Formats: sequence, structure tokens, C-alpha cells
Amino acid sequence: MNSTVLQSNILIARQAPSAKTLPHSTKLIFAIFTIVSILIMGNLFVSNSLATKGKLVTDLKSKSETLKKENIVLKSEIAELGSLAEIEKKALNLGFQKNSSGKIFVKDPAFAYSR
Amino acid sequence: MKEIRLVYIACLIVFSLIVLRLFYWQVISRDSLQAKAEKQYLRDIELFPKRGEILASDGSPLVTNQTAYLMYANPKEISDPNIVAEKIQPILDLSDIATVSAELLPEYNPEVYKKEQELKQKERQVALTEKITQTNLDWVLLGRKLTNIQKEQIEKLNINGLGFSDEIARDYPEGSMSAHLLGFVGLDDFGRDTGYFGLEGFYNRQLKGRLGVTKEETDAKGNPILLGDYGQIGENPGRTLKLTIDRSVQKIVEEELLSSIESYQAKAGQVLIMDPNSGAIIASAAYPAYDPANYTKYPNANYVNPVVAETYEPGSTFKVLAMAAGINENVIQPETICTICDGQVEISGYKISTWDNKYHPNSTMTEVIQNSDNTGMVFLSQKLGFEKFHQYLKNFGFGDLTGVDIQDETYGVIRPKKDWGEIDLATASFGQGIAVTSIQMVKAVSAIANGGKLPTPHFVSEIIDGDNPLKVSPDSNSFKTIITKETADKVTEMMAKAVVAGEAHYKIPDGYSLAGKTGTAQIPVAGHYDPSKTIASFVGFGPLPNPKFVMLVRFTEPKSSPYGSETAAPTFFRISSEIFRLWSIPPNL
Repeated sequence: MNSTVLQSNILIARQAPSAKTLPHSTKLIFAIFTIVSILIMGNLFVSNSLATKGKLVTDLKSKSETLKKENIVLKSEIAELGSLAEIEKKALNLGFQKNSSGKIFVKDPAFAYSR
Repeated sequence: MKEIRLVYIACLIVFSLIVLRLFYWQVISRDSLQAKAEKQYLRDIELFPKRGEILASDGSPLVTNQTAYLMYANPKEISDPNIVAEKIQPILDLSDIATVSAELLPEYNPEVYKKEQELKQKERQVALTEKITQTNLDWVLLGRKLTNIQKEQIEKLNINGLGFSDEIARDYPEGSMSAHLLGFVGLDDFGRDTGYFGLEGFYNRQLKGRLGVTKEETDAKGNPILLGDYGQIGENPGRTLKLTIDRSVQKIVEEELLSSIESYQAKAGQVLIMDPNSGAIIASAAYPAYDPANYTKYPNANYVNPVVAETYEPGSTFKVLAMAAGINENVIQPETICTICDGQVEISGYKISTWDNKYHPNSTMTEVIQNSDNTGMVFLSQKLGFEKFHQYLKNFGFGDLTGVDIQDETYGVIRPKKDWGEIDLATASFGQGIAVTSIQMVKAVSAIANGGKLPTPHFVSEIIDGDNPLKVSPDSNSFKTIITKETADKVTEMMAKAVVAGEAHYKIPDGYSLAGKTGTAQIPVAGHYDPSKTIASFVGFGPLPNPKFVMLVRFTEPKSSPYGSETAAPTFFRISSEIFRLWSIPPNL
């Protein structure tokens, strides 16, 4: 009898934890709920933090536009500084004169030019 | 119980109405309401592409872009439109000044020009006042493409109700250089930049790029919502054109042409220089010109490039081509004696004489070219015959487009075969009764300079898309051979002798050998030739024996002298001399 009671107690003791375990479907629902909750919280958090970044994006776009504009201005200035009219003006200011009587000689003449 | 039922029915009716209303909003009016909502929270931003640049052969820009401003006003905020218009109109008219080209116009009179401009300015001021008195509007356009200086000057006036927004305008670092070949950028019917005339017009599709659009969700303040809807079709910047134009030669040509027009008191003038081997156009200038940055200040007639669009009778410059046809057909040779050159030649009742009424019996064909003898050319045309002469006109490309990549090219005028008579053949042999363009003439003479091949003239060598250059120059191997090398060499020698024996021989650059021919053609007016009005021209190439350029110089109605030998030829030699120095071409004589 004692041994039967003991065996029965052992059986109960072994069965007790399995009686508290949730069914798989419940576990799954719980897991989904947890994940969805985390995602919603995350979404809320990210949305909340990004909602204020719109102005930052606008500012960055504005800066980008300003830089593009400055590039165009600088490129135009470079082109004007490199124009022939500008180079000619600077050369004349530096005292250069137009040479209209120069002679051109071959670099490696096949024969001596001077006789 | 009855009351409860009444309440129930009332609830049912209200509920049904709500359902019906919801059905109306969500099903029937869905599209329009959705569009309205999207209009509130979605923003479309047009991304305007940067227009492609136009570069000279050395890569330096002839046309680039610069920032400009669109000026607008809110008439409701402007207190005194008359005073505002009076203050800002002079700033908007800042660039309205007489230019060198305007001064070159024959009818230019400083007093008349000033009065005209004052009148136009008043008209513009009245129009401006009318615009800013439209108080039923919130936004009116006052000006486009304003410069930064204009914007700053207007801002300093501290006028309420005026505003600016950014835009892009064309910038010309070399000023109005090459205006005719570049063309200009104006606005189309939708207010968008469009190229007109010249290369801007011809290559508009390549240069303009593709418009982009960004669609994004915005909040009440107009800032983008990062997690909202977003879509973008990026803009494609316009392609850049790299030209065959040598900007140094172009500058020399423009300066020399301008000073020559002033010296010879000509009504107009042109210079066209081409590489005879490749067909690459090295320089092209024409006056009267215009400033592409202020094109609206010039007459519309100035926009068209006369080098490709204007026809003229080539006169004696055409003789070298007729001579090439005769030699190529072996009906004459340079040493063939002219048997009818001892006096006037009568054909179909018309008497053909020489330009100076001096006759050279038993001249050789070389001497016919040297003396520019019309009777000698009649002798040649009779030997050649109509069919062959007409065939060579076609072979040299007359009466047809040259294929040059620029707007407004014309065909020239070669009458249909059936309309030709004996006299037409005779006069055409010395360049009368046919009308050609300058580009056709240069193309045809190139065939003599390069040994017989007819090149395709072109301005653009590369089209650059981003960092990828695409070569677009025509392949010189595909050029059609129209005369033999022997013929080309013989005619070149005849032209070289004509230069040495010509009246302007003292202007030939020292030590260089050049080939050329003068031309003085009277201008046909109402069925007859006006003896007081001529087109003086010179076409030639050099240095011999390996020509690097073919050049045509042409003046319309020069007053100092009507002859090509005294106007166009000296200009040709001066420009040639500068080119030899610039390109470091050593003398060979």
C-alpha cells in the first residue's frame, strides 16, 4: 500500500509541471502578440522620432540646392576668367603686345636655313 | 412601445443616411476626394535638368549655365503700382544698350535708336504697371532670367509684394562670339527653355535633357514625412556638345571680319573656315550679328545664320569648279588655248564680255583663271556641254543640302534642267544665274583641296553624356570622290598661280604658298544686275601642298571698292597669316 501511495505521489509530482504548461496554440498567440506589440512600439517610437526629422531633410535639401547653385556660379566664373577676352585684357595689362611679325621655324630642319 | 418603435425607425433612417453618405464618399466620389486629399498631403516637385554645355575644340565653354531669377509680385501687397513700376523698370532694362553689332546695321542712327529705345521703355513701363494693378490676382510674373545684380538692386528698393525664385539661364563666357552658329535659348509656349536657331536649335533634344519628378508626402508645414509615400523619376541632365570650332581662330576671324567691314564699308560680311580633309568647321562668323544673351534686342532677321541660310551668286569664284569639271572630263587641260578669247562672245542675242573689257587672245586655261576671263569660261562650257556641266553641279553638291549639323540650311537655287538655255550654261560657267550658300561653296572647293573627295561639313565632333563621349564626326572614308587627284592637283596649281598673279599678291603671307580665286558678282535686283552693288568674295586654301584649311571671305556691297581682289582677298591673306602663326606652320617657300 505504501509503495502504491509513494508511486502515485511520484506520478503526481511528475505530472504537476505538465499540468501548468500552456498549450502550443496559446503560446503561439502569445508570441505573435508580443512580437506585434514590440513592432507597434518600435513603429511608434521610430515614427515619433522621424516625424521631427522632416525639417532636417528640408534643411539638407536646401543646403544641397545652395551648393549646387554655388557650383554653377563658380563654374561660370571659371569659364569667364578663362575666356580669351579676359586673358587678352590681362596680358595687355601686364604689358604684353600682339606680335604680328614673328617667324616660324621648323623644330628639326632637314638642312641649315642660314647660308 | 410605439415610442420605442419610432426611435428604432429614426435610428434606422439616420443609420441608412450615414451608410448612404459613406457609400457616396467612398465609392462614388472616391477618385475626386482621393485626388483632393493627395493634393493636400502629396507634393509634386519638378526636377529641371541642367541644359548641356557647348564647348570649343579645346574643351573651353562657349555656352554654359548660370543662376538667374524669376521675379514675381503679389499685386494685393503693392501699395503704389505706378511708383513701383517706375522704380523697377530701369533695372529690368539694364541690358538694353546699343551693341557693336547694332551699330553695324546700315540704318543705325544713334539719335533714332535712342528715341526708339525710350519709347519702348515707356511702353514696357505701362505694361508693367498694368500687371501689378491686377489686384484680383495673388501672383503675377514680372520678369524671367534676371541676373544677380538686377535682383540685388531690386531688393535694395525694399518694396513689399515682390519676390524671386531661382532658375537657370545661359551664360556666354566668350561674349557674343559665334552667336550665329550657337543660336540662343528662349522660352516655349509652356515657359520652358528651348533652343532656337544654330546649334541650340538643331541639337535642342540632346541639350535639354529630361525633366524629372519627385512625389513625396508632406506634413501641414510642408516638410516631408519620412515614412510617407515617396517616388522619384530622376532628371537627366542635357548632353554636352564638343565642337570642331577653334576658339582662337574664331576670335581672330571675328575681329578681322569686323575691322574689314568697317574699312571696306560693307553692308555685311562672312568668313567660313573648314578643314578640307575632315569637313570639321574651324571658324564661322557673320555680321551683322547679335548677342545671344540679349537676343530680344535685335531684329529677327539677325538670328538666321547667313553662312548656311543665305544664297548668293558666287561669281568668278565658281570658275575653279567649272574648270575642275572640264579637266576631269578631259575636254580641256591647263595649257589648252582659248580660241574665242579675242573679243566679246555672242550667245542667244546676249553679248558676253570680260569684267574689265580687256581681251586676251589665245590665253591658256591657266591664264583664263588668272585673268578671270568670262569668255574663256564660255569656251570651256561649250566644250563641256550642258549635260556634263549640270551633272558636275550636282556632284559638287549644289542645289542640295550639305548635311551640316545646324538649323536653317537652304538648298540654293539651281534651275530645273528643262529651263536651261544656251545662255544659262554660258553664264553659269562664270558663276552667274545660279545661287549657292557659303557652306556649299566651301564644301565644293574642299574637294579640290583634299584631292577630290567631297566632305560633309560639321560643327560637332563629340556628344558627351555624363562622362561618356560619343564621337559623331562623319567618317572621312565615306566621302564621295567626285574628281580625280590629278584634276584636283592641276586646278590647285592654277589657283596658286592666280594668287601669285593677282592684284592682292603683295598681301600674301611671306614664304607661304596659297591657292585661291577672287569673285565679284553683281547683285540681281528686279530682273537685272545692279552695277553699283556687288558681292565681293575670295575662296582659297593653304598652305600648299598639304592644305589645312579652306576659307571663304565674302562682303556684301563694299563701298571702298566693289572688287573681291581689293576687299575679300586681303582679308583672306591677313587671316591666313594669323592662322599660320597660331598653328606654328612654318613657311615653305
